[in-house]
Amino acid sequence: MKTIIVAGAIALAGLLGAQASQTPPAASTPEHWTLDPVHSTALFRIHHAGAGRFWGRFNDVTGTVDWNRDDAAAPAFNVVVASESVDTGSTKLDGHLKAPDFFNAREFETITFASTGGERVSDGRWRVTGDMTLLGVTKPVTAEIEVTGVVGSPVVAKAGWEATFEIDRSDFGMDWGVDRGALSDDVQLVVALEGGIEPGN
Amino acid sequence: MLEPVLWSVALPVAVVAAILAVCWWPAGEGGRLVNRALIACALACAAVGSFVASVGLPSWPPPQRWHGLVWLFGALAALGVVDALLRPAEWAGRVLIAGAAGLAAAWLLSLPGVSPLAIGLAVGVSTLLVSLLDAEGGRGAAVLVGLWAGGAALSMLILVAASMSVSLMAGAVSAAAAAALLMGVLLRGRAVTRIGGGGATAGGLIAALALTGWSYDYDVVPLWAWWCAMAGFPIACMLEIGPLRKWQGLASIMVRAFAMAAPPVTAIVLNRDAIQGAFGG
Repeated sequence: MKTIIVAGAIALAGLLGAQASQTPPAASTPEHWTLDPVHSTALFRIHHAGAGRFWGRFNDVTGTVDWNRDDAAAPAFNVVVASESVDTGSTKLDGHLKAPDFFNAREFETITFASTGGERVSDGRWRVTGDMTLLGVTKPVTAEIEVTGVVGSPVVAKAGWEATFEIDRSDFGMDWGVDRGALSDDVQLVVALEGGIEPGN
Repeated sequence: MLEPVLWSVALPVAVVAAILAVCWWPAGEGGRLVNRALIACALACAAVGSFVASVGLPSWPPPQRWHGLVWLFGALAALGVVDALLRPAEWAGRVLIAGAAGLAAAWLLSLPGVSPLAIGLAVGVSTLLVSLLDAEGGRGAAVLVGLWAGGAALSMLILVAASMSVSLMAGAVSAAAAAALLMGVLLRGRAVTRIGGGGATAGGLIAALALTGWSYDYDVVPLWAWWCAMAGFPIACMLEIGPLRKWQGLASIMVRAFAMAAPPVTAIVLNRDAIQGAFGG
């Protein structure tokens, strides 16, 4: 009987201890989400020759998001996109996009975005400002952010965000075809991110 | 595809051709020197004009490494003018000019994966070789044929390697070489043995463009093709060794021109499928 009581006490203590260690972070303390490259992608859309709009994507998107799932404060993004991962479905076009005329991926291996601030638009929607660096040129941009979902437990969770914004590529020195209208200057970007937190993060 | 070519190749070459048409000087030693200096200027101006048409006005420091090309083109124009004014036997002066071209290239042109030393050496050696060739009596026309073919081959290979702006610059240099040759021989009735000048500029330009194209290539173009596009001038130099050096006249110029044009033409022919694919897009 004594053995059973002692074992029961130990088990209860263990459960309580585990419960304590799973306490979610205090409200509004940012949690550190690591982006999942498999489920994150950056899409761009550009107007070709004044006719069709075509889409391309970057397959290698990494980085972090500091954000609390109570959504009390704006998410802070630190996103890195590998220039070489550009993918339009055409090997030839990808080659041209990686070349010096466009992303110059040999010289500028990454495109980055780092948040500098944000304001709430509505529940789950934010207007985030940040510095985007493309071709070595850093410019402030503003992105509309939608929190697309949060799942999981306090210690293991996934969350998603989708950012839409527009840039003038000539601001970053990417001028090819702008003056003759071969490709539009304005480029729309949709960046879909999924991040996760795991014990130890 | 046609519109960028019109702006970045045809327009600069038309301007260059207009300058040459006006300035082809009457016969005489002074006129010959001016002709030679103008050809050097014309070749570099075509490259600068193509850069400006494709990329825009140059800025300093270059915002991207390959934008240093336009400053190097300017330096090669100045050095080419000095080279054109040298007497044929002044090889020491040509070595100095080639050294200056190498230093300018190492300073002005920074390329991914290529050390400044390698850039300087490649441009310097190429400048020296073609300058010495051009200084030999009667070799100038062959040098222009070599630049015509080499520049055309480079333009196509660089297009396959997907860099359209640099491809257009090589195309402009090639077309300017052709224009200088044709205007001298056909329009002004110059004896082909009297055509020349621009050797140092030609050597520097072709090395700088080839290095730039190769350094940004994702191994789409085989390495041998880059060498082949450049091989005409070293092969022509070999014809200057031994008794062949004394071989003069139209036939010798034809053989030398063939020696310079054959390797780049081979590079084009053996990569024709990739080139056709690049033009199709």
